Amino acid sequence: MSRLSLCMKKDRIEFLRSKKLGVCIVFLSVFLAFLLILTAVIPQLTNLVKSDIEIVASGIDLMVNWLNDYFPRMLTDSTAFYSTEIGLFYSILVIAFSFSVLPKEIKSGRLILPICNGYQQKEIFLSKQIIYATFSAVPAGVAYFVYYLIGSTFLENDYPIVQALISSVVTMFNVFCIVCITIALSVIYKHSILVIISVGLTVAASPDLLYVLPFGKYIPTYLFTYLNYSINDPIQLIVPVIEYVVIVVLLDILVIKRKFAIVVDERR
Amino acid sequence: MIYLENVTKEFKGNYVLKGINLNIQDGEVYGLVGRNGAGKTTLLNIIAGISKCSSGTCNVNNEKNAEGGFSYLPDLPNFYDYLSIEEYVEFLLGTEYEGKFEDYIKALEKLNFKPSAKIKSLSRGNRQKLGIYVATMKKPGIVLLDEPTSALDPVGRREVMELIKQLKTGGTTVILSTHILADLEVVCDRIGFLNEGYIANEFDLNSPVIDNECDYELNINGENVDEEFIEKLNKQLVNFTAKKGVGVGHVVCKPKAGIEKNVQQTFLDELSKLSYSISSIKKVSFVNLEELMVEVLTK
Repeated sequence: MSRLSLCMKKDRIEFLRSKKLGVCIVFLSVFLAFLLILTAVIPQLTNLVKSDIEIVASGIDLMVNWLNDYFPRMLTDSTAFYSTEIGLFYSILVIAFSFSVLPKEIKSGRLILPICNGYQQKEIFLSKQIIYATFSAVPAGVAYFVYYLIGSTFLENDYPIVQALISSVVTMFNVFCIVCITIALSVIYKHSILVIISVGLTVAASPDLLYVLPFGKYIPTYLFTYLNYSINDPIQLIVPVIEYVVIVVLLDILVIKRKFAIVVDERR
Repeated sequence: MIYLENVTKEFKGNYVLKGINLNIQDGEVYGLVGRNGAGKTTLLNIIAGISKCSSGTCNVNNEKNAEGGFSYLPDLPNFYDYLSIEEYVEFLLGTEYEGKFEDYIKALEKLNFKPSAKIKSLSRGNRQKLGIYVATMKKPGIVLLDEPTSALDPVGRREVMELIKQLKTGGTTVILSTHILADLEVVCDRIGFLNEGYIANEFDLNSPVIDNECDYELNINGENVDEEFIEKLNKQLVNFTAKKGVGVGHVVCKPKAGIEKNVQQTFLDELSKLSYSISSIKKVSFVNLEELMVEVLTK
């Protein structure tokens, strides 16, 4: 076993025993159930409003249109909605999990004994990134696909299963990279709360804001919001993926070159 | 060798260390004493390389036992609490100790640890004991121990002192920071008093000056150690005064003032001229370090 794999074993135990994986799964399950119920109920409700009661008042009509927009009957639109919500809420949850994990270890002096015993800071850092990112990303991708499978039983299916599979992998990749970036920035920034603000705002707000710009669709987090519509256009998928990889690699190089694990007093 | 020259450390304009000069030889056990906030932990952090000095030179050159590396146990050791003891030991041992893992687990069991117990379930004293074990299990070349016995019971403290003695025998350099001066008396070769950002005084506990303050405890076989025997012994001893010790056959000999040669050697020379069967000779007390510390640090 290499030192990196020993580090990963330790971080895997940490992620599981600190119940972070459990929280991820519960959050996604509740979220999925809630949205599926809404998705199933709202179209029926709007049908009732429009056909049976036959109310034509403009206010009601507007509400019906709004509900139809947000809780669409087509599977592509519905999973796109779910994907956006993952981007908004689940990403914030995993950022909150990971933004302080390494700074806390550095501050508490927990890294002193491992460093004395020959562990290198790059092994400690990469292990944390790989485990936290993987364990956060896999439930998101699985939940996306489960949503697709359940949704396809009662929504109009205009979304081929292969595309849904690719989308769930892209969703995983998206969450994976967000966690990687969060952990890297948490070491680079002096105050780790800045990480949650900057990454959180980028993930939650930037896709909608950047959509108005011509290059907006090539921004990585755009994938969350408009993944379903980008799936047929490889360029729209490949460019953000490459950008993610470049950002993660550059940040990792920056972190590994810093002596973050052995200087305690600069963070006091 | 650990060599520090004019090392300073500043925190937001406040100098905690103002110019530390230190030279610790390989295999030496050095005790660091000082009041709370004197900068002992800061100094150890600098030697350990986890904190940068503001100015000066800090060289840690570990030629002997170099493969063992370096170990540092902070005053409040922080572990991965969610791991079990055996998982933590396996993690710290790393790859090169694969196959020897069982030996380390047996050693833990000897210290009354249950290897499968979670670290978070350990008491403060047991956490400290575990910290000392994991910091020294690879027999490092240099060990820095910051308040290693502050939470230990007397039995635990004695075990730690024995461990430090073993490390010393194996050639490990140890720097020990503690307020428990009795611990320093037992294991240290030299003691430095840290005060106002400087090493105010250093004492070599093996020097003749300190030796003059030692008592020697003898265990004499086959003699009825009573007042009459002590009187007879005092007539035979030239540079020492004997008195009855606690226990059967125990005698305590105190050096008289003004011994010019090495006190220990003088004592052994005098004993060799006697015709008693002596089963053990032990130094039983050193100079009163507590009084010395108060004197130095309140000057």
